[in-house]
Amino acid sequence: MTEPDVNGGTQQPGRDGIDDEEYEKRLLAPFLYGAPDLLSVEEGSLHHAVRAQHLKAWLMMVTGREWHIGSAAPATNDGVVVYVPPTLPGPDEPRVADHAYRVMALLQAEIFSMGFFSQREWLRELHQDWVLQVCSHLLMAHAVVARWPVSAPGMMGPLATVTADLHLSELWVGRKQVPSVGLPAPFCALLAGLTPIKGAKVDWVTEAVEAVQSADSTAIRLVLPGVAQRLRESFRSARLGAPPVPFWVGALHPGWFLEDAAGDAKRANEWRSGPKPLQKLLRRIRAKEVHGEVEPGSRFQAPPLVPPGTEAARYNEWDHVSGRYRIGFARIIEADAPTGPAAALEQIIASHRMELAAIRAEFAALKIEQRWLHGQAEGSELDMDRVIQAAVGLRAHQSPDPNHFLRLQHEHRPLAVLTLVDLSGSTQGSVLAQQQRAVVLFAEALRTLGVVHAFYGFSSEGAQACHFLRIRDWADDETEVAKRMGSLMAGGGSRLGAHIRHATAKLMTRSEEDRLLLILSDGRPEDRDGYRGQYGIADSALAVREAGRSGIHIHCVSMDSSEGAYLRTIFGPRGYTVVPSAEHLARRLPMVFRSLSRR
Amino acid sequence: MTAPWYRVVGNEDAIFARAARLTMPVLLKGPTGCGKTRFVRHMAATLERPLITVACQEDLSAADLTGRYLLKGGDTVWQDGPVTRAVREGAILYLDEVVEARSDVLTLLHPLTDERRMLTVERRSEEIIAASGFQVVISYNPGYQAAARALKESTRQRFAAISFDYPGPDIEAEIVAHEAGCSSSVADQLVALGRATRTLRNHGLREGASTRLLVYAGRMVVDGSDLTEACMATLVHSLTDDPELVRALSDLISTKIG
Repeated sequence: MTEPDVNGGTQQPGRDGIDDEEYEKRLLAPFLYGAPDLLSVEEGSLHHAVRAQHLKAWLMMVTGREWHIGSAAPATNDGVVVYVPPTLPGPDEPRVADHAYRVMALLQAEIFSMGFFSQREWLRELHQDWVLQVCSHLLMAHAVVARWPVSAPGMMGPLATVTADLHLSELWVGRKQVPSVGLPAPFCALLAGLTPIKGAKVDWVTEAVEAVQSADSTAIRLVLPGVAQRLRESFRSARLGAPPVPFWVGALHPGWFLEDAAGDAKRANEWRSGPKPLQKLLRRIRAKEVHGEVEPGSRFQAPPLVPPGTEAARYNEWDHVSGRYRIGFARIIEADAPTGPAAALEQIIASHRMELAAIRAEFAALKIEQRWLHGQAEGSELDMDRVIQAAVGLRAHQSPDPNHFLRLQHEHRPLAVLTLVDLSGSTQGSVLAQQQRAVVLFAEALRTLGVVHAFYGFSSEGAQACHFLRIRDWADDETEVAKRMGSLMAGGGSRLGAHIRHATAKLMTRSEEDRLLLILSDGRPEDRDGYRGQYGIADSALAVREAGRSGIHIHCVSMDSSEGAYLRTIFGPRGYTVVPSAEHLARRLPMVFRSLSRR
Repeated sequence: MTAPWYRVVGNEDAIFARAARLTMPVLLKGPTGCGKTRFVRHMAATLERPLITVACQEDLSAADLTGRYLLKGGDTVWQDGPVTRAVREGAILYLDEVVEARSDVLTLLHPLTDERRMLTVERRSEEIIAASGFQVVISYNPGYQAAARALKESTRQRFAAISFDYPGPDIEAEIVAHEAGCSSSVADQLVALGRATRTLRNHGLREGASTRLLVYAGRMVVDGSDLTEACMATLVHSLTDDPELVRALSDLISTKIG
């Protein structure tokens, strides 16, 4: 059934008897509600990655809050990440690109900081009515740039570059460029100032723009419905479909904010209403009965599995497929490792007297203490015995010995070592026993060296439950440590990237000049929900680089003698040692420390 | 002697004066260049006490603090160190950046900071009771990497503490304008820039620009420098060596100043 076109406008193809509003929506859906195009930073876009780093620092300073930079075209934001396009339309001119990126990033950040995105009814309106959305977007852009002469006068140059640039001002509907001809006059008036498009003056538009420019940002809300209504009419009557937005002004995604908040509320509700299987599972996890997959039939992604009295922290995870960080994707849950009888540890010590003695001997040789050197030609203190000898010598008309100073010999630089012990499911049985012995030997070595050290175990059950188990914190009581150290239990996967990041954060709180992260591992980084193969290796490798940039040295001691190519990828050619068994640690550990002290 | 200018932000002067009256040692903590040293100089002058300052560093030895024998002609001569002098004169002894000193050296302060108020000079087998007016003041910067070099608990628990931070924008602008002698509009712009750089604390920068650096920038402007040039000279390379951050800081300056 086809409805006659009463307005006499051009009939658009595929319009089968649906009303205007529905038609509009269908026309626009593919443009407006798509996910952003993501870009691989790894391949061929280093240029952009470097720019993103400096853009981030600049944006944070100008806006006074934390932002991440992501890639999407056209530019947009989700309140945490400002997305900028990986490439710009038009010729590649560094100056123009530099200006454009700054303008786009600051515009997105400031649009968000106007505060509308926290108003859910408003977001819902924008989400459902894209004419309203585009109008408010353009008015927000006007309001933001109108403040720049005062808040950021240096942006006026870049803004002029961008608004005069024919390519950057191209009109886009969602992710598609559209021609700029045939737009209704009021809309052209709204675009004036943001693009080179000039149109006849339309008084009510000019008034609206002036109102948002001069008044505080809430004025937009008052002005908008009227403007949007009148624009909608002009768009309808011209049968034009979606109003476009200049490329540099980017896009709004109210749906992202709505969805996210809705999802959060839903999850919180599900947890509050307390489905019994989940509670049961939690109890069993606490009791360490469950180590593998969550029971089949449990549909939950497991966010709220944080037992009371533990701490949780979030870390980014590198997705090498899309080439971007998944912001705050992995959650670390920190808790005390379970305790057992201290006797377990004593037993291990008793049966490894030889190895322990060897380790002590090796490490005692490595240990150098601060000491005063006597009779030096230069030094910070006088060596009184020598001075008096010299004074006596002078009186006896002998030439005095000039070596009468004391010098404090500085040798080992203060070192803090955090050891991460792989307690994933692959570490069962004899491997776990090996690991256990390795930990004990490690601990003895560090104690002999007099080095500040901590031990943590790690395992994980998906991104939302990366367990970080405290075996020994920097200054923990040794009797407690013994109870935990002798009773290590294994289970779950190893989400190595998140664990390295958390360990790095812990080491960053130490003031020692050298900070070393030792990882005691037995296999590949593998966890549920896709953390395996290249994904896990790429994320772990990046976590190692991040730590390196923070000045943390990382060394992995692996007991996986099967195939070590992945170790090389993650830790670099000299960042790991493979030992056939825990006992070999006694011979290899001193080498690790020596190589560290030579750096 | 007139007291060096200091803009009181809270009740720090009253607390310090009270601690001085009670001969209580004082610990000042706060980020670099926020006015700790100026505050001590101001208070010493206000309270009419001599001030003896020691800049602490790793190689500082007990002898550097208490004193040592020097050779003079054919004789050995004893020379008092700053602590001994302060103890004899009843001065305020100010140990700046105290965590830089080795903690075993600092323990020689312990008998001076409790009711004994006594200094033992081992080399001379001498025990000196501090003259009235003697007071120990130490300062350090806890900001650097959270847990930072820590003071020994047995040392830090001997002090009344006053915490400093960069003051609010209006007061900081007042300070910059006064210290640099620049106009308040220049001071406002400098303070806005300085506060912007502090956003990157722990995000690439250890600390943002200090009030001291802002004063430097202001002085350059007063001396005829262009504002952008003055900021580039004082607020970029002194904060970081990272080329990306250098570029971001330069861009920040050109964005905010135009």
